[in-house]
Amino acid sequence: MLLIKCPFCGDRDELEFSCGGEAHIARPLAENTLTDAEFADYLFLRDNPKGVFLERWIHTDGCRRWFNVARDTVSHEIIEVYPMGETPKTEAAKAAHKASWRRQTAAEAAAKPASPAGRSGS
Amino acid sequence: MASLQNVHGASALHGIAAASSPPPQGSRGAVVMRDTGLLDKINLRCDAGNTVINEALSRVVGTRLPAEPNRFHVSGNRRIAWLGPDEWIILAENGSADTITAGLDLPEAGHVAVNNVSDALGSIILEGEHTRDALAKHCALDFHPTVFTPGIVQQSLLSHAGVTIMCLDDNAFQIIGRSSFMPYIVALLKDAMIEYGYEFQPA
Ligand SMILES: [Zn+2]
Repeated sequence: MLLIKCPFCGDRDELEFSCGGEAHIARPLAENTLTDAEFADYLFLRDNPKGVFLERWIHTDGCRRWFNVARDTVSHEIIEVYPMGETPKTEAAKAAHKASWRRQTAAEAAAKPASPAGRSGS
Repeated sequence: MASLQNVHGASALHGIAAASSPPPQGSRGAVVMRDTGLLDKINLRCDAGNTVINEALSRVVGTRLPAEPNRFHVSGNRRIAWLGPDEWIILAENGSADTITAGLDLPEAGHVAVNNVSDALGSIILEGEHTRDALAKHCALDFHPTVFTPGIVQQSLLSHAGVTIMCLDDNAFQIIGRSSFMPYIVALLKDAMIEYGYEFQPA
């Protein structure tokens, strides 16, 4: 059983939480430009690493708020808890975020808003 | 439209009879569990620092929003309990919800949601030296008297039922649960309290 530190309520038993699966899956804004295979990366494909994994959790039977957790799927160690909309701060979790195959996908590239100057901007 | 003026509601535990079990030898006294009966409850969502709401609450309820997590504020028989970083529940006597809501200056308050959840939730109070022992049987929260102290509110599970638990006094706890779960919670706790002795008092 995990003891999870809800960023709002504090340490609570795993029973009170639900896991929402892989974190940091951004919806492609320009989905029309993607092939079906590229869109499937966003819609269907989920990572299942052995080691550090970045997940979304919700404190279902507590404050009912979502947050992100960096968890080692081998040792069950919780490396970091961080807010929705942010990326992790610890080295191990930062490395896991950077190394994810998802960072290279066309779906994720299409999720970044175009710069106000237009497509020619850097 | 029909008038509801003379229609009286019933507690979520209506129909559950008074019951007791004597304290066996070695018990430090029976736990008294009572149905608090009809109690108004308002769910409030806004920023903790909303000055219009905080000032209105000090005026109408007598206390401001507890910004600190897991805390409740008391003013007479009214209470405001923290439920989340932007969510609270106001507990007040039966029939007061409309007056409280009307006093909140909502048109001036900006981004706020107020919902009367009086009938969605039931409430019981447990008192007695073995209260913490009985609750700890069905809940993973730390009930140690140096941890779960008066003024702390926590949401958790009591066996399978989601509950909000408030520590009112060293040996007194109030439990708020969904109305349809209240008979289950009472049955569960009666069983948990047999080894200490108990008394259940309907509203
Ligand atoms: Zn929480």
